Amino acid sequence: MGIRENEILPGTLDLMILRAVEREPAHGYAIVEAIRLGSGEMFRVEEGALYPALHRLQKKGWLAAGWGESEAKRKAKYYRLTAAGRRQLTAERSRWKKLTEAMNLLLEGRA
Amino acid sequence: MTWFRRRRDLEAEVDAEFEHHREMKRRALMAEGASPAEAGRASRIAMGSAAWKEDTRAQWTFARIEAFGDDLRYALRMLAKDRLFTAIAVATLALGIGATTAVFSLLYGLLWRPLAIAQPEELVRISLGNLGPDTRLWLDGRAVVPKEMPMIAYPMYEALARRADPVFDGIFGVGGGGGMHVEFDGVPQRARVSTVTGSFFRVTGVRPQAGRFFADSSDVQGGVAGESWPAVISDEYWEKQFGRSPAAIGAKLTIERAPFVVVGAAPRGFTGTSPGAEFDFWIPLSANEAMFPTFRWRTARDSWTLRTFARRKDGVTLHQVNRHLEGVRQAVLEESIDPARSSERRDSFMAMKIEAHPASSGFSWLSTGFVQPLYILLGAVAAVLLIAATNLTSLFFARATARGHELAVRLSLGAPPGRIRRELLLESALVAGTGAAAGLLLSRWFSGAMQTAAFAGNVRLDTSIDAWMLGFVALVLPVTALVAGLAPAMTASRVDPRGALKSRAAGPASLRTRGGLIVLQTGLSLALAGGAGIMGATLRQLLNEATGLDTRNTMYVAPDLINAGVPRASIARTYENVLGEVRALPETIGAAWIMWAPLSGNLATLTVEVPGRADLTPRQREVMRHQTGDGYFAAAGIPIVAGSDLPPAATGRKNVVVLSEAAARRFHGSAAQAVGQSIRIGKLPLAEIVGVAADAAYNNIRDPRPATVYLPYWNENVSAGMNLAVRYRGSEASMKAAVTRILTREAGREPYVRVTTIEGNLRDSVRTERLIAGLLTGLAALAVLISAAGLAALLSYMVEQRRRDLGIRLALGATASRIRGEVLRLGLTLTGGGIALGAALGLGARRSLDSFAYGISAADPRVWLAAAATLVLAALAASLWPAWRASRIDPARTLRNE
Repeated sequence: MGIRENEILPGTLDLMILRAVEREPAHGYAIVEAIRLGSGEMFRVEEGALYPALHRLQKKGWLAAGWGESEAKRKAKYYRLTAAGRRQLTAERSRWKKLTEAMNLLLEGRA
Repeated sequence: MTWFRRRRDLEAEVDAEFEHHREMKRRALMAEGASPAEAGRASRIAMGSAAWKEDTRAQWTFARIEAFGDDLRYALRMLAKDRLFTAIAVATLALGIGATTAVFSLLYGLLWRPLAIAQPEELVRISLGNLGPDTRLWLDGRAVVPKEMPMIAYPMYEALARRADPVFDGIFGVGGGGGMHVEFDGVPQRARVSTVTGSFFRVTGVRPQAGRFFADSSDVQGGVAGESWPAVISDEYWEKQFGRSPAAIGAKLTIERAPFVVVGAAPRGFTGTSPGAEFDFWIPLSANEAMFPTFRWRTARDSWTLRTFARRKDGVTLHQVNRHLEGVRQAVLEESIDPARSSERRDSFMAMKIEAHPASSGFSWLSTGFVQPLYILLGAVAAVLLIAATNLTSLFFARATARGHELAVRLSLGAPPGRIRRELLLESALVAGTGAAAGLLLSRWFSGAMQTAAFAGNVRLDTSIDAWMLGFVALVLPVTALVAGLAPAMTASRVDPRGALKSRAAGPASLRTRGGLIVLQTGLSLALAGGAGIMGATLRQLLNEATGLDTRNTMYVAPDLINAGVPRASIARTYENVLGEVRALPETIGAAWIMWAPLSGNLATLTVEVPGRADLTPRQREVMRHQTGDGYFAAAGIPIVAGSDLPPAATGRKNVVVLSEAAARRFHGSAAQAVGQSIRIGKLPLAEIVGVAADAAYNNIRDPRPATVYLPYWNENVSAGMNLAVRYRGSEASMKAAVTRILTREAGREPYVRVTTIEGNLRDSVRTERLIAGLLTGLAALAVLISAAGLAALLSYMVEQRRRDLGIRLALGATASRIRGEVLRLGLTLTGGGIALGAALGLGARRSLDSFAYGISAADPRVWLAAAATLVLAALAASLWPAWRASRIDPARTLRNE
């Protein structure tokens, strides 16, 4: 069973994307795969949501894009994390951590 | 067109990205064992619609421009669909903006429009400040103690001009002007002539469009030997009289019998330094002596006739100018003081300040009397504009709510709220833009009509649209558009899709806002209606005020005998002859000469000495002066209450006067006691009071019983320009023709004749009041109408909203009258709130109205109660239909439809 992007908490898509390109630049398909595999096949991001988000993050200056050749020997657009994007990722990560801790506390009575 | 290129780039980029993604997907499917054909098909399906490509591109700005085009088309379509709404909205705005701009354009033309001269910002005007307590300025027939005297006497002008150098590039004076007798080749006409000092054209820096201008060398006493006086014609006159022919330059003419020659034509648009006044001729000030030999302007030290302007030197500030003027003040005043002044009046003269004020827009006599009414009207039209704008807000609200369903569907399908907000704003911007354009067109027509109403065509203010005017509209418009469209747009985009889809109900916030707007509208309407009531009552009071004159069958004929050929020396003789012949006419009841017709706007005051009454203050001894002859009281219908009429002119008896009853009572206790007493006028011998006449209006109906002294017109030198008061039987036209025949026979040729009546003068004298009363009434009616429409719309809308609730309640047994009562009560509650607000507003604006109110206080409760009653009636009328509708809801049908 997978969870589609529109069923998860709003705002988390950005976090997932930033996380997906944290180590190395990736193209759109690779990002979908990274999120799917990285979440234990839990999250499936749809293309209709991914690409607008990628372009939005690029416009915000959190991602930078460049053209390269992919493993399919085809021209592909690669996204990489900018310094601002890294800061955003760190901030979002700690926010998310607090959120999950709070949810745990609420649901289970322990952090 | 960079964004086209960028758009194509982006499209290609997104396509490439999309293609790559699909390819990767296809490979993955094949790796899982799908056939190439299967993998291709499946990957295409997996990629879904192409919609996300557009969403991706939409992240970039120029996609917004594209979207803007769509929004624009959409907004136009929506407006076209809702024609009634669009028409009402545009018309409301056009009226509001048109009226506001019209009043502003008049104020602007009067006060702020820069003169059509070189560097108008360097121009200053010179005035006298710190005036003595006896200084009086007569404006519109009202005595005003002025803060400053905008005119100076010629000797002072000369003293000032000699000391102008350090701070001024030049100084000029504008003397009196007006209608004068002009003849080309013996053909007489009346033309508007302005007398100016020789420096006028040099200092204004205006260039002639034909011929040349005159200079200081032409403005000398007696003129240039062997030459005619130079005259400059206006562009309009050049067109009208000469059809712009170059032959106009050098044309010979006479003005008031003095020889002139046209030397040049002023450029188009140049009207001098007095906004609103237009002239056909500019002539040198010194020509006055050739035209009016008895006019002692050059040497008279207390005859303040010259409006004086100067041009600041480059780099000299107004502050420096005023410091210089303060430095030379003492010397200038000493040189120009009348040595005959009493020591007390001497001190007040020497204490005067000479001040410079900015005059980039000139200075008009109108500005003192007409500015306040314009401000009142500007306030009134602004209130109407505000009412119109708030009503539009209400309309937009109603529309946004009516479209709530559509918007909710779009929101739930994923339309960004920003986009919906943008669409709604765009709609209001379109409505506002169209309304403003129509308003600008209307404003030209409005301002023209208002000028005609106010000045009967004697004044023409430049109301053409320039940058500043557009600036004003640009300021008013967005505010209006935003007020009208922003709030509803904000609310609409916050519509909760689920809620809106279910119930189609509007949020309570929008209802509260709309209710508040109704209160505001009603308040402004009440203030306007009250103001209109006060001004209407004032106008009626003024027109019904007893003038003390018999206005029926009396006319005042002012012939220009001098220009018709009567030598000045024999004017007294001619007057006597004419009077004798007119009195002999069978249709004449009575006739007499008088200097000025009552209520004609002319006046002269004098301070008399009353022997034995040393206790009277100078102010109490100030009286109005009439110069007339025997028979005037009978002709004007003023009863003589004690003593007798003035003696006939033929007796030549001087030093006799008739007093008005008010003057007799003030000086001697009663009319009877005054007869036989004496009074001193100026330096003349003591005059005997031979009679007392009943009180009569002099020049201002607001003061119907002024203390007046009637002197025989032959007491001093008889001057030209008197009026023949004639009381007649039969028709006015045949009487006028008969009098003109006599005048023509006596003068040798037909004179220019001006005929006035008391009724006409009275009408003219309340022109300003009539304009304010008329416009306020119209504006108030408009305001009440708009407010009532707004209330009706709000209530109907609420009934519509609560149709289901009401239906249930009716089904459960609520009576129709109870439901009706609820709706009516809501309408009246809102109106009540508005009336309270309006009363507060009216109280605040009372002072500005009080200066115009006559015979009624601006706080008169009857007027305000009547205004409030009107609003309550309008509110009832507006609530009836929605209330009836509410009570007629069919529960069964309403519930079935849900």
